[in-house]
Amino acid sequence: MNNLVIPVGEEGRARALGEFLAKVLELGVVDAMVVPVMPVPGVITYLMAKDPELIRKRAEPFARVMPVNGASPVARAVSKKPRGRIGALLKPCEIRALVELVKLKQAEADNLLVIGIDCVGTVDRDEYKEAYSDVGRLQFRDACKVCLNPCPPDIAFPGINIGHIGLDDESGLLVSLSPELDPGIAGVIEELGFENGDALAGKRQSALATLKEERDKAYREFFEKARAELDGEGIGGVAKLLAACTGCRNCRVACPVCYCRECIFDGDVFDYETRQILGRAGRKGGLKIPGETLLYHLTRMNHMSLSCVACGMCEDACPVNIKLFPLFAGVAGRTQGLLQYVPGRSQEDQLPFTTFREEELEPR
Amino acid sequence: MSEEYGHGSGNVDDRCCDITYSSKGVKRVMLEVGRANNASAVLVVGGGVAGMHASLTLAEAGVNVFLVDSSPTCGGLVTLLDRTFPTASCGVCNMAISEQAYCPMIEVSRHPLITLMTDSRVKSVQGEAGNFTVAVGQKGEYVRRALCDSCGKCEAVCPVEVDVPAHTGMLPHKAIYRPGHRSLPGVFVLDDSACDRCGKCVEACPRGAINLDAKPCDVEVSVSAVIAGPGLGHYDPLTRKEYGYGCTENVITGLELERLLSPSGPTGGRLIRGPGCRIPRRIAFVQCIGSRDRAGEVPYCSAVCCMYAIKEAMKLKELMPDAVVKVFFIDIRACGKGFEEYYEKAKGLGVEFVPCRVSCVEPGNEHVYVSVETDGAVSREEFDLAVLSTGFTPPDGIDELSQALGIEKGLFGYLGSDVTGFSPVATEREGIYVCGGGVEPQDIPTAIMWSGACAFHALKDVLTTAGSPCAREATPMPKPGPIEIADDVESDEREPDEERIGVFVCRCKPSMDGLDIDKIVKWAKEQDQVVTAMEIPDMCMDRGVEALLAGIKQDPVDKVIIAGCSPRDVALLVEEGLQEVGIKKGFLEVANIREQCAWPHMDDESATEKALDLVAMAIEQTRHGKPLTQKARPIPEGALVIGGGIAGMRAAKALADLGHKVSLVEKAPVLGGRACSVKRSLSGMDVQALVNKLSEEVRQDPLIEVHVSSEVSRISRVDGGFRATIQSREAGSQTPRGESECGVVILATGGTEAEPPKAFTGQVVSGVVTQTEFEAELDQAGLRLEDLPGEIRTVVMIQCAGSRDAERPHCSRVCCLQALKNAIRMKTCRPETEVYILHRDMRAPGFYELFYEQAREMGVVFIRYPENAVPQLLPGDSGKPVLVEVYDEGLGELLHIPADFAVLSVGVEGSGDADLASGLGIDFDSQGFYTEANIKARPTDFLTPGVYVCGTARAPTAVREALISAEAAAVRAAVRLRRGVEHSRENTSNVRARLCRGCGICVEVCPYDARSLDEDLRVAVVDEFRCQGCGACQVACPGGAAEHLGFEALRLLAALDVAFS
Repeated sequence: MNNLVIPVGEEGRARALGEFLAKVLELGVVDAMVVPVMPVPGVITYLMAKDPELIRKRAEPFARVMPVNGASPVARAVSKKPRGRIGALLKPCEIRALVELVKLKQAEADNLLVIGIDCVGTVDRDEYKEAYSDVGRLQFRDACKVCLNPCPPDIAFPGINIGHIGLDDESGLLVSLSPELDPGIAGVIEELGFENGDALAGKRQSALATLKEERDKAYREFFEKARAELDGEGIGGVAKLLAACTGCRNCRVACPVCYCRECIFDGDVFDYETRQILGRAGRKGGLKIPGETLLYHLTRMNHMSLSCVACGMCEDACPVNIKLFPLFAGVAGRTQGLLQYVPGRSQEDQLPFTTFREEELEPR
Repeated sequence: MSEEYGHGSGNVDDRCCDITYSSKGVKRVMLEVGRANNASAVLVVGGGVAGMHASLTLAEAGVNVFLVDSSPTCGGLVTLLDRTFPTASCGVCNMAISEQAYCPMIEVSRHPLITLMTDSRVKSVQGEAGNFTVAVGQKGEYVRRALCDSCGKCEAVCPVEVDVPAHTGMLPHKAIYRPGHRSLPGVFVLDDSACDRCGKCVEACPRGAINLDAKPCDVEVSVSAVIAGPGLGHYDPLTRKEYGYGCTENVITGLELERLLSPSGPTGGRLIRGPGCRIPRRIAFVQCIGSRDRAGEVPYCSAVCCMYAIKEAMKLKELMPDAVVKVFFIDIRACGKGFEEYYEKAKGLGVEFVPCRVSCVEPGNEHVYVSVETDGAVSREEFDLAVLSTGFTPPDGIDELSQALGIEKGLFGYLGSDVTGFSPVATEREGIYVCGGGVEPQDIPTAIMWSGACAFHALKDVLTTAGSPCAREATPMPKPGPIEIADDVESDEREPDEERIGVFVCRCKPSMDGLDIDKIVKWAKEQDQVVTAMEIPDMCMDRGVEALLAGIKQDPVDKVIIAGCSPRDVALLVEEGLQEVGIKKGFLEVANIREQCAWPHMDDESATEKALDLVAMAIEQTRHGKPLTQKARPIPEGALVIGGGIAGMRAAKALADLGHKVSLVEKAPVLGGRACSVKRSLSGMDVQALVNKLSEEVRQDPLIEVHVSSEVSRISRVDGGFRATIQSREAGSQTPRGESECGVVILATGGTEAEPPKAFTGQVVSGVVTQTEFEAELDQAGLRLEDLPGEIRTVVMIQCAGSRDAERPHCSRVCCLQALKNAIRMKTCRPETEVYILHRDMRAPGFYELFYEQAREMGVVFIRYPENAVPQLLPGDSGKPVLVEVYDEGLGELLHIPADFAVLSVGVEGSGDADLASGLGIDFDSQGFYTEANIKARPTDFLTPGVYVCGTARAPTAVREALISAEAAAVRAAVRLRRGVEHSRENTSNVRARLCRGCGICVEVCPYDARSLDEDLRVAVVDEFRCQGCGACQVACPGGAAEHLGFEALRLLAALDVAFS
């Protein structure tokens, strides 16, 4: 790992990193660069920039808000192999989701330069809009409070990582180049004349270790509590949790790894005839409509839990504020553990579904 | 019905014929076909694994088959087994492409060309090859199969108990009984020697199926060839008093344990002993009971006992992880494909393996005591249960059979005149072939290959008799089902909710007596869209089918629901008739209200309620039913055989003998493969003569095109066959020899001797050779060892040098045999030479045991070394080049042997080629051996139809086995070529392109390589001919884009919805 330091000047770290990203685009390392920007105060969106000046002036790489998991728009942009190279600045959970989408053939990894950036957490987007200039006093989202992956996965893409956890403006930002990074790209960046950052890397590592410990504890407590709330009630508890669901499917639209063209619950499979609906209503005395909300969530969990990166977008998207994160990420944690699968770790790890072997069913 | 057929046909199974030809009563016709067209019939004796496989293969090739079994049912020993090694599954029901058998027993009973003759014995065989007349004696048909519905009332009243020897795993039964839950035909039978003709069963039978006065009768059939595939007899442990069998219930045989562990066994799968239902916690397996006993009845190795003991021991450990399970053995002979790995797995589960000789098993009150001899000392250990791994003998009746067939018995009273030679399935009587356990004790895959080889010879005889071996015209093919070549199915008919549905309820007296049939019919009439509902007397009888069709004609319907017995039976019965009255395929739905309602809920009123639910579900399903279609495509003629060794040459010649064009590709400049460097086989046969004969044959045959110094540089699957490019390997030659299409590919690419492991080649430079190098030295000396260079006094052979370890886990099988061969040869030429064989188990299964015995008698010293103490080669002193250090497990001592030669048995590696495999859509294992479709039931086939494997390409094989597997593979290939057309299934998978995002999960999960991604459209596509309708894709696809026709999610959900309403 080649470590370099980007010094942070008076204009702050956002501008320093913006300058670096703009340079990368300017020098032709990439032909376009996806970065978060703030088009109107308090609102963050992703921008695919061709003009380096836009990045210099408007990039908000440190914005502590995630209106959308960046894997979704990036994957759409590179669903087919682009002619030129596209760079994208992404948070750890966005990168991990993108890896899953690459495995699912929903994105092309070739000609994509992933620039990962540390993320200590993000806040509720409405609260952010109100108080974006003083974001420090806001609480992180639940998903971020218990996030075990504040730094980008090392071997997911042969790209560049920006580290800042444990580093203040004085020490600067850490740029780490993956050993597998295209030597052409690495050469250009090395020629920018940054100083060696090995010392910074050490400092960041120790900060990460402390953070990881806190997060492990928080994770355990959070999910133990969540499980305790559900346990003993079985599926009834889950049904209660999901009682308010309106069947809007916002959670699946927001989910970066839910990739179906049309949710099976919106298609003809669940196009019940009137007589069927009446029959069911008659059987139970009454029927919640729209129906199948519980089955929808269970099915989505069945389909996606192995690839779930615990970004919490589902919960953010829910218009009726159902606490989806503890349910989905909790189940995902256990199914992934069972099959020893870490989503987003590496493109080489095969999806468990595709490597199923009969003997896995034998008692262990 | 039986009256109609009765005379002279006795027990010919009419069930299968009725099923297939429904209303036309074909059984009688079939016998006549057999008589009139004698050119196209073969008689198979023995309905076990071997006999069934031979019968099915021949029937698929278009040959009439008479399958004769002396017992009341077919299926043989396999029907007693709970699981089979090394997959621990009922191998016959694995997810295998139904090109042949889904379950061979069901297929045999169904196939229109197979006439099953149970309770029958061959009395005589007159005539000669191509024109035999076989007299078959049949017992009387005391229970008329056409009438019996297995209600069991006869058994309940029968006063006669019949004892059977317990060691066979069979249980005492009444004089009238059903021979087993998987027996075929699935009816009751009468043990006429035990029956006292009291007549109670006749009164009890509600269908008048029993006739105690039935007379035996003789049937004569004319056939071109006869295959004898008798099963195995069981060694009677009572003859060995020292093992305590018969003195206590705590000593049982392996087969008894098998039955105890089986869910269909006497205890429903619970291992309990004695009146107190004790559960044994300490269990000993004692190997080689009867077998390998020089002085006794069974001097040979019974070949399968090690593996069945391992299987049962593993099951015990799975059931009771805390139990102590010990296997006391002489050598563990786990030398079939995948067996060594299975053995390792057993060790991993905690089964303990103790090499020793067991001197006796003594019964105590609640325990048994096993006395073990190791290194002269005897120790005694207490167990709750001792399981005797008893060996096998020739089956009962083998004398009569050999007399009837007019052939002499061979080794140890088994059949076969050249079993250990190069024409193992032949007999001295041309046109009569032998296979199965009655030839040599063997496991299922071996039996399947032997019977395949028999089927090849019989098919060749049939074709020769027919006048010309011209493949496709020789024999009329069985009529394939009606084929609709469908493009888009236009449904120009009624809207789904206006379609007319008919419900037909089978009365099936007295099976359905527990159900209120009138209520079901009345209820069905009231359902939406149901325009007609009626009762049918017996759907399995002609009159039942007639009533059904008449009902539909009178009141036309679009879709039909039959409430009756298993859909598997019903659908076959009525399919043809329904199409005649205009019901489309896919528009029949069956509600199984017999097996699922009437039988399990006897005397329970709710049975009718459940039946109503099932009918309601069927109605709902049929509302969503869509017509199903089948596609057909031709299979190109011609075969490609890759590899010109023994197996490849034999396979090529076999296919040419059956009239097919063959391209034989060999990479070396000469044919013969590895056999070129082998002079003699273990049994002393001249291998070079065989190589010369085979290569002469293939070069002379006008149908075979031989390409030496060539390779298949590219191969792919196209339409019904394959397209291959054959490229010369000669230097400078770039131009392909041509691109050709063929319908089948046989892989006979062999294997290579592995590299000697580094541990053996490091320190010592001279005197260390591989077994093959040593053999070459012997050969060069021309068997006169005086000519051998230097003074050879001591030869030390080291077995498993680099095999059976973490790196190469498989057993190469042939190395032990090769070591025995060279040791015997050395000792024959120079008796004074000291020959040591250091081994971990001497693996000489079956009759090969004799050569092991011979070597011992000649003074070859066998030293067993433990797995974790591999012998070391040290620089020699005292004038010998090598000093071998070995820990003798038997003596418990470290020995040092100065040797002139240290001979390493290094094992065999496969020839798996990634390009070939991916082009053909097949796999090979980590050792390079190709992975067959089913390790038990289909050892020569792949999941890709049209690709077959033989010889060492599949697993290490000796010359004899290579020949057998080559013929077995060739006949499978010939079946496909003769059929000439490939049908898709009706209920294949489908892609709803609008919903597909091209993620490719379905491609990965498809076990048949039937799905791929269209790179341009980015959606999945299905090859209907590869798709076997397993439904894996539908499960894997999250978006509902993968759809299993006939099992669409919409339809199943709707039916479920009804079930819960």
